[in-house]
Amino acid sequence: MAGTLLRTCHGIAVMCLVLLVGFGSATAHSRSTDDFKTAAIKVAFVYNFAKFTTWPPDRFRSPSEPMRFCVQRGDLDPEALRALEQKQVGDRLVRIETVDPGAAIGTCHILFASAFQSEPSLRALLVAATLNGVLVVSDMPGFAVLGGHIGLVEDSNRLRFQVNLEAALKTGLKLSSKFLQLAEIVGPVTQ
Amino acid sequence: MVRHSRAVVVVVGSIAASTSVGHAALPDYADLSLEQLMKIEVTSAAKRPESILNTPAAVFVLTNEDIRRMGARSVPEALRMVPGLNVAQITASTWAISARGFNGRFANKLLVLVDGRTVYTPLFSGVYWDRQDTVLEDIERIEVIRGPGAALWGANAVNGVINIITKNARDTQGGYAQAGAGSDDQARGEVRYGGTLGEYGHYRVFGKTFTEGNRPEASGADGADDWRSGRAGFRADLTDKSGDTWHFQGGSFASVVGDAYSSPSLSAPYNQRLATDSDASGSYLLGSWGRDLAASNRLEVRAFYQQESFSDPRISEDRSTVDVEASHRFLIGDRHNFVWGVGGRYSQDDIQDGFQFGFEPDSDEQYLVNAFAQDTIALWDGAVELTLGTKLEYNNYTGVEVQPNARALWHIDERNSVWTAASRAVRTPSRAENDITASPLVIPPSAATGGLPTVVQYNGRRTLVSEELLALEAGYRWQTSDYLSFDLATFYNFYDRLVSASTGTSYVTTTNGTPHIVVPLNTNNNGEADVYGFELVGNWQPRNDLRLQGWYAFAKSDDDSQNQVGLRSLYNVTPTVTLDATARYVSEIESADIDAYAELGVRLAWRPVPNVELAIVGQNVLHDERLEFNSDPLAGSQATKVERSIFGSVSLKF
Repeated sequence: MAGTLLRTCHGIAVMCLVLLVGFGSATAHSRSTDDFKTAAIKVAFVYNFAKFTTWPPDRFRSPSEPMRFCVQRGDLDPEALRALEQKQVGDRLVRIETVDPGAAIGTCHILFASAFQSEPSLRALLVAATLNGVLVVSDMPGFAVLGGHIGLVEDSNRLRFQVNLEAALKTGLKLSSKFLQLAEIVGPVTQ
Repeated sequence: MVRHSRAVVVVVGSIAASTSVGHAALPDYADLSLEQLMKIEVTSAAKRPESILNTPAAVFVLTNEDIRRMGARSVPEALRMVPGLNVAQITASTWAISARGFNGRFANKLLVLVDGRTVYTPLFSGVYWDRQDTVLEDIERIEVIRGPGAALWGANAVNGVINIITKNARDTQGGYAQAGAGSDDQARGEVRYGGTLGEYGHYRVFGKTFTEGNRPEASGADGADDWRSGRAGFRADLTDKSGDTWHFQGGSFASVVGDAYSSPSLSAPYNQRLATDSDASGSYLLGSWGRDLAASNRLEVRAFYQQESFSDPRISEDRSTVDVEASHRFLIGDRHNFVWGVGGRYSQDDIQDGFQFGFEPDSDEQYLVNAFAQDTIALWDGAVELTLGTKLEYNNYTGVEVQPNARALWHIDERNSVWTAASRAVRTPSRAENDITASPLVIPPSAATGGLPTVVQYNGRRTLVSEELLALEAGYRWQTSDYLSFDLATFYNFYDRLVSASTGTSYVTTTNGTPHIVVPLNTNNNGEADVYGFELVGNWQPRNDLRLQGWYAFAKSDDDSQNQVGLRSLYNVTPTVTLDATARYVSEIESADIDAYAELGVRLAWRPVPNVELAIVGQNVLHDERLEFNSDPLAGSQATKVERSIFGSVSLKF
């Protein structure tokens, strides 16, 4: 009995492997257009955020210094980012850079990151952003409530954004009032 | 480095461009205003953040920084500061590690994986902790799941799962070297170098060696537990032209491990203390392949081969293991996150035995095949996540085992969540519980025994079935503010069919040439236990430069209750100087006759220039010496005391 069952299981395991690999080759490369669209819209949001943000003066050495838009590796489709290649914010060209999780972010003006290894690593990132004057945007649920600057939130199949004003102020970032009218303000607000 | 990152982006970008037709038709969203953007409909594609806040299980994560800043020099030392784990050092090289009770040198209800490679041995259903080592700087994180993880990980993930995850080779580029010396560790050194493999990816190679001195035995005599070890290994992470990811790693080690033990014999002096050196060595090779079939739709296949052996005068073991598994994760609609997989493992051993330990048969094989499936269902717009899963496993010792679990997580709001779980898990009998004949103790002849020596003999039996656990768990996570959070986990575990031993009928025999009495202890499945308890963890960041963590763990069984408290602080004194401390309290272990103790560790580190770190670590600061655990009577090894120690090191990145 046991012998029969074992032979069956061996057979099943091998069959499943073959099936899996076959299935894999057949459906590979069918990248989802929906996912790309969502990524492109997120990129567009972040680009707009940059337009409405004023950085501390010491973050730019000259009026034409490019704006460094850093993306944590793997967190946004690189192709979606290409939409910003020729774009400008005021007189500044946008320069896209990829950073590894946990790497130094001091040269970034904006950082987009989705996934964090742990709560302490999220905290460490936010502290580094506050010290260096970096605007951090994330689509992690609850990001702004947890102390991030701007969180992208999905709600009824549309994206909106939450702003933690206190965190932005601590970082020395000024956000235009027009922009704030569209935002949901979270965290303790100091008027 | 930056230039290189860009090269990767370009490569990935061009792959995406070549495979995705139709994106060009999409409008340039960047030209739209915020008001317009907020009106566009999107489909749910947010990457599921594997955040600790989002898991319906008692999870704790040690990051690379956590490990470095507690001054840990081995994986077991790092695990000391995980709430709910029982960690005790027996000798320089042996440890007793378990979760939520049942601790011992041969603790057998914990599954340990290194990058997906199971390092649990079928010999005694436990872990050879002295063999699990690497350059700690290359460990990305250690995830500890307390409670059963059997539905995903399979048999023996009964009381917990420890996942040691090393960094992607991409994140360990360039050179790293560390050299250190101290009162316990006479010398220690490690080197790693990482580079690129053209446009395909990255690799690293590493080597590590150390030698540790003797510690005193409980009797006050000098111990014989000095040991030395050397190892080398590599890891490569690659992406091929079709976007598939490949990961390879391998390594070899060799150790000489000192041990003092009580050697039994049928003639005077009957039990004699002997000291010996065991030789242990091993190698492994692991490869995995992954393909993103679509966003959030990933297929992975992983396989490894491992060979390990050790020998000393009592016993020697050669073991080879082959393991293959495949898993597939995907979304069904916008509610179901599904993962399923199949796997198989074959392990073959060859044991040379003597009077103290015998195995019948000398050589045996253990194999299993399994299939698992798990669905995470988002309900009420994701406010509640329901996870249902099961593993079906066939092994050649006990046949078919079914291990289901059901979990639910409710995000009450952005700061509060509760979870609950019910699971069944089993532990299959070990090779030793099945086949060993151990004679750890000979009682000298006396008038009462008719002048014959008496041998206490522990006998494994093949009639054993799996130990069984039904676990009920619940937890609550509360982010009170940006700087303060709490994590509470509670459990009630019902164990049945636990392996224990009962005394059989004594008899006189002349096997081995000398007439003697044998008192047999035969394994059976008559054990039962209920264990309940909780773990409470708090994280507090009062200032930007100070982080505090505290925890309390409580577990109670029918005849034992355990309390453990841990406190750690991570303080950035200046941007280049850090001062960190770990304190812990472990209550009395009545069953093992070990007193309660409180202990303190301190680490001071200075980075005079960004790529050099000087560190000094003080461990067990509060006691000259202290017995932390007794050795298993079956092994007969002599436990040694941990001593106050100091260790200094220099680390260099180049």
